[in-house]
Amino acid sequence: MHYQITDGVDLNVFPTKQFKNVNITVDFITPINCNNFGLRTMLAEMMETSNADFPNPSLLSKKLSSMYGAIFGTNVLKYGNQHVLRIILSVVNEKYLPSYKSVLHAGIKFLHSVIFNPQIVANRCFNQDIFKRQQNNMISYLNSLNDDKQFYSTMQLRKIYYTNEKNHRGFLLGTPNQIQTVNSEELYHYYLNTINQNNIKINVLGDVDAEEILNQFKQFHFKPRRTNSGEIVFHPKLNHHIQNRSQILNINQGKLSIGYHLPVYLNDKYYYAALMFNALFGGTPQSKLFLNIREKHSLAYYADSIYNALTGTLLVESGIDAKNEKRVIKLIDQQLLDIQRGNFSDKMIRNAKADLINEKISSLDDPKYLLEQYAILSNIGKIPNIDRWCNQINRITKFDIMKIAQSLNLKATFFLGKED
Amino acid sequence: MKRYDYRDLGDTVFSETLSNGLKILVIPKLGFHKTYANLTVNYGSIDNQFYLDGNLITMPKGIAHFLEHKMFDKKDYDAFDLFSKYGTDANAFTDYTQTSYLFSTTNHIKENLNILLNFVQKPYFNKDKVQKEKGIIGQEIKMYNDDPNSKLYTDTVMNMYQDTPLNSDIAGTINSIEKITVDDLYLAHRIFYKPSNMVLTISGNVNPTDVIKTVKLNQSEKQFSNQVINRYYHSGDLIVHKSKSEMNISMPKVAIGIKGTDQIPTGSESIKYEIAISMFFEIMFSENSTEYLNLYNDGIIDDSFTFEFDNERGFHFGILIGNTIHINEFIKRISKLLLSNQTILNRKIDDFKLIKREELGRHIFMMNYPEVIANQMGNKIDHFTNLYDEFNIINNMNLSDVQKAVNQFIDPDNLSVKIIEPKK
Repeated sequence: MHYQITDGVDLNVFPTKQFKNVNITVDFITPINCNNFGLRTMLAEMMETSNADFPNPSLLSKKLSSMYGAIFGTNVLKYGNQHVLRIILSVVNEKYLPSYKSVLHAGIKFLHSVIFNPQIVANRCFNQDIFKRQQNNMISYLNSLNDDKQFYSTMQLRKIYYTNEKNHRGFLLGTPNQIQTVNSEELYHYYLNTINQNNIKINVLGDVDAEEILNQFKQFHFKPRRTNSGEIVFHPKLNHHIQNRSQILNINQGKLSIGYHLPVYLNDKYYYAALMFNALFGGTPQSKLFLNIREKHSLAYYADSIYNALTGTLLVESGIDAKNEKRVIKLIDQQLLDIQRGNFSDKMIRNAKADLINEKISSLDDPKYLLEQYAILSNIGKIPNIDRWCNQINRITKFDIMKIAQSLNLKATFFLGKED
Repeated sequence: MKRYDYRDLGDTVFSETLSNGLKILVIPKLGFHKTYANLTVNYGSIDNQFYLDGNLITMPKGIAHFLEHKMFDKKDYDAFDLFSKYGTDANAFTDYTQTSYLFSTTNHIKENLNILLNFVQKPYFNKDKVQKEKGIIGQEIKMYNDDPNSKLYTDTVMNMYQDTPLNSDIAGTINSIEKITVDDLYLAHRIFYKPSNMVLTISGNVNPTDVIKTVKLNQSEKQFSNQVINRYYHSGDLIVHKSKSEMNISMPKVAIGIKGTDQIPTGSESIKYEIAISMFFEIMFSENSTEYLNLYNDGIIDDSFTFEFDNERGFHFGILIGNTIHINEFIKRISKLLLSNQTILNRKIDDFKLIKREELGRHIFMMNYPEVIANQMGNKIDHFTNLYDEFNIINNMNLSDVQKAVNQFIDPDNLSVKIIEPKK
């Protein structure tokens, strides 16, 4: 059920008895802008840590415990060209509790505190002590992400893949430096802008009364707004020439990251063919990459491909011995060539179809995935029903998959090697 | 077939033990689309030594994990091949004390169950394929060795259990797996992969009668060795109290391990003990506590701080982990809190009540996921105390139960510290 609370603020309620909890997401959406990476990350961090009603992490956490272990958090995400600040709240369905408590009502009230009652000093800035501490914590967190060497390798790939796209080149949460330059007055202004100017989408999934949910969110008195959210599908300007980089570190295993442009986007005519291509190339344990790099040549524990239909990218990742770098890259090229030339069996196609369909139907049991889908698909106006989705997959032919493989464009390679 | 209704929680557990000893537990989930099955063998990385006809057999470290990898690979096909006909997602993992084989599907449950039972129960190994697997697992070992959080955890466990098989990574080492032979794999399979040493749990869109019928028929066609499993138990007296190493990381990492040397009861009391200790960690070290807040505000811990309690066959330990630049303060202050647990707990009745609420709610959350339900069905030692029983145990828990368990568990001589510092 869809409601417009006010201009630019939408509520979707999905009633279902399948789950024993109620899941809520509140998304603040604005076009992506790399100058705001540090601000949006810090705002999400401040909202998650405390607010005027629950002024320290311990009091906030106790409130969540008192609501029978409600799950709460904030997240910064990117969908195509949309920069999303998401608040997540999940509470148990009251009917399973030993003594009836109105957890859902309390949960929505709590969300009001998170959104409208931050710890602001004199209408001017966020509480400085808390701000400073969370800023330091965020900087340590961002630094520690590079401890994951595959993540690091793929971030380096990003820099050379998106040379011309400053909003996509860097990591979404910003650099430690970007976090460092945020100050608490500036963040307060950014906060006001976010809650009053961003588009807002609220999604609720669970055994609830839609009208009641609507009435509770009406009490938030959101201001009307007329802004754009940014495009959910982003067509990047990419380099003509292939970019290659490498780096040496003192590690056990080398990490390879390869970026291709796959010029097919969400809901394009060939979208389902692109999903099938990815499943065959590196998306499953039956894929060419898995069967050859791992099973046949015993060169890796993992060799996967990931397709992002919002940006038209296909990413390949593998952890290998540094001495095998050239050999593995050649094998990956060979697998792609094989698919381009139709060198794969009908059985592989059938299995890939069964795999995608099984995964899709299974996702109907995952509240988190469902809400994510609603968030993305409400942008393009429709949520295809499951039968239609499966039919589209079943219609894909060998020729379709070959065409997709032929349209793939290698754009960048990064290799993190090992000291001798 | 026995039936256990958990009416207030809206679910039912069906249970059956076949004549060959295989235990089957089925938890139907109304309105769900997928079905998840988990076949667990009570055999893990610590079981590399056992008695056979009175002789102590010692197998290369990492054999259980190696066996798990090789079970999928048959003479002229791969088990993944068979599953993928139905689009079924299959996987497996090996732990210190168990090996689990799983699938998740939305169709052809009967066929998928037969594939699962057959590939796990009918071994086929050959020399070339075994040799080839060494390259793949070698890369898996290297991957984990580059992962600082995984390294910190396993190193802490190794330090606590120096003179037991827990002193090695679950996957073994590049050198130990090199020694694994086809004969080793057949022997390990014959001894440990028998139905009486396995449990099959299934949850999701299933009919319990159909499932049990399918499994019964499948098992009636198979013969198994009747060799009794005779495990070798290590005393595990040695402990390394402190060790340090370096890695390519941004900030120092510290772990404090608490090795349990007390005797744990069996049956549901064992789960009660486990939950009591877990609640102690929550009361003391979750974001709720003022102790946590002080450490957080003083910059001793940050959001990376985490803890867990593991209670498995033959051993139990707690572990607290965090990134910190104040290594000594971290160790000093957390150890002090651990050792003054009784005094602190005495004034924590309100916190206890809140944590109890939270645990009840979290258990209801878990009941939304067939894979979580099927993985939380208990084992022989705890008499199959499941997720729903846990809910009732928590509901009846008192602060004094927590105090009693902690008093028994924490011994100042059993703390072990591991530090990983950034490479200079």
